[in-house]
Amino acid sequence: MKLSIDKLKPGMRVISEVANLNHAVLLPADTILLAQHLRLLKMWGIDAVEVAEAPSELESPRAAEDLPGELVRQAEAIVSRRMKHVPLAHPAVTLVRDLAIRRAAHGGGAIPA
Amino acid sequence: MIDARTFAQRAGDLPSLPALYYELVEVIGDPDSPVETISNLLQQDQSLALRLLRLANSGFYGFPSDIGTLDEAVQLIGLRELQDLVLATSVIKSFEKVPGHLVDVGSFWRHSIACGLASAMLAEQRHDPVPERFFVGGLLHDIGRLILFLNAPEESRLILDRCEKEERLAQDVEVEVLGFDHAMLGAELIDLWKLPQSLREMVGSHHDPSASPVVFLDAFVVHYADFIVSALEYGKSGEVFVSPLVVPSNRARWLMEDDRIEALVTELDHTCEEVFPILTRERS
Repeated sequence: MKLSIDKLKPGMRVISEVANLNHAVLLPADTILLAQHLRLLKMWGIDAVEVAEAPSELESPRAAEDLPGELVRQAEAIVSRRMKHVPLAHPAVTLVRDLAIRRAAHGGGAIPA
Repeated sequence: MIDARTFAQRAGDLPSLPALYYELVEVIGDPDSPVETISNLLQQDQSLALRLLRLANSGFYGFPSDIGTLDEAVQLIGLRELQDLVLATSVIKSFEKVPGHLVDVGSFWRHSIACGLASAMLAEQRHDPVPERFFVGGLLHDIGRLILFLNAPEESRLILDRCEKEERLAQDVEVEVLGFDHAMLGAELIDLWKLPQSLREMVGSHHDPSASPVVFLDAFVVHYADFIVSALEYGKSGEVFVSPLVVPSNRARWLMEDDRIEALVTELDHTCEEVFPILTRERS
């Protein structure tokens, strides 16, 4: 489907190469859009891009469901202590907390020390 | 007790930014400066020039083809952003002497770089016209802590121990011990370095953006990014606990939904891994 620039989101997969008026390829087909690409597309004056309808293969944070319950409980205890000063009333906060638990259950962040 | 401004003015060990940064600001401020003048200036510091080229070619920008020369980088990245990148690399280098027994310096910069990248991504999603300016704000948000580690090591040790033992937030214990916190001190450093006012607000109000009504969004973006990267433990800056997320009721629309925050975290992982060694290691 062809989406206008303001409808594009990071994670979408480009299915037809994006070229400028001189036919120079700016983004090849199969590029997974990053936030930076959206900025570049605006800068290049591109109006619309052909993207796949299905979600991209851009890896999403791994789910906690496939982990042993004990591991998840331990991760929850660690994160709860670290976030003990954070009121959990707002959904945006619980969302980040759930992500933190999933991350801790998988052995910490994805960035190597 | 003294206030943050007096502490910063009296601090014996206060890193300064390189003369090259201020020369660059001057050259960029002159609309008649040709690109070659700017790239020639940057070439004076080969290590800096190399880092800039590597950043230009990294996922931080996501340019689809290689950028081979500084001239190209200057033209593609844009002058304002280039100035910010020079500032970022200069600041990290200027704090090389921070004592390792008080803070893991690598972990400190990992936290700060992640906060900078997340700030720029959040600003991008808010359709800010210049989202990259938030990178420096996020990068510098905890800079006051480094000033404390350098100039008040004993008090810093006391604060760290009390936070751990009493399970309290560092900014609260800092005010008790020193009369000010690291955010206030960081804001004073921004002033002493003659950096823009919006940067002062991002740094000085990163724990309470409502204290910065004029540029609330600027301060809130860094505050929100700091919350996310602290909760997800992208490095550590010397804080044991995550500070609360302050969400004024009329600004709830600025918070992210499930799929968008997951996409942001995934992108943050990739970009951090790439940008961290470029900014922090001499050769890698």
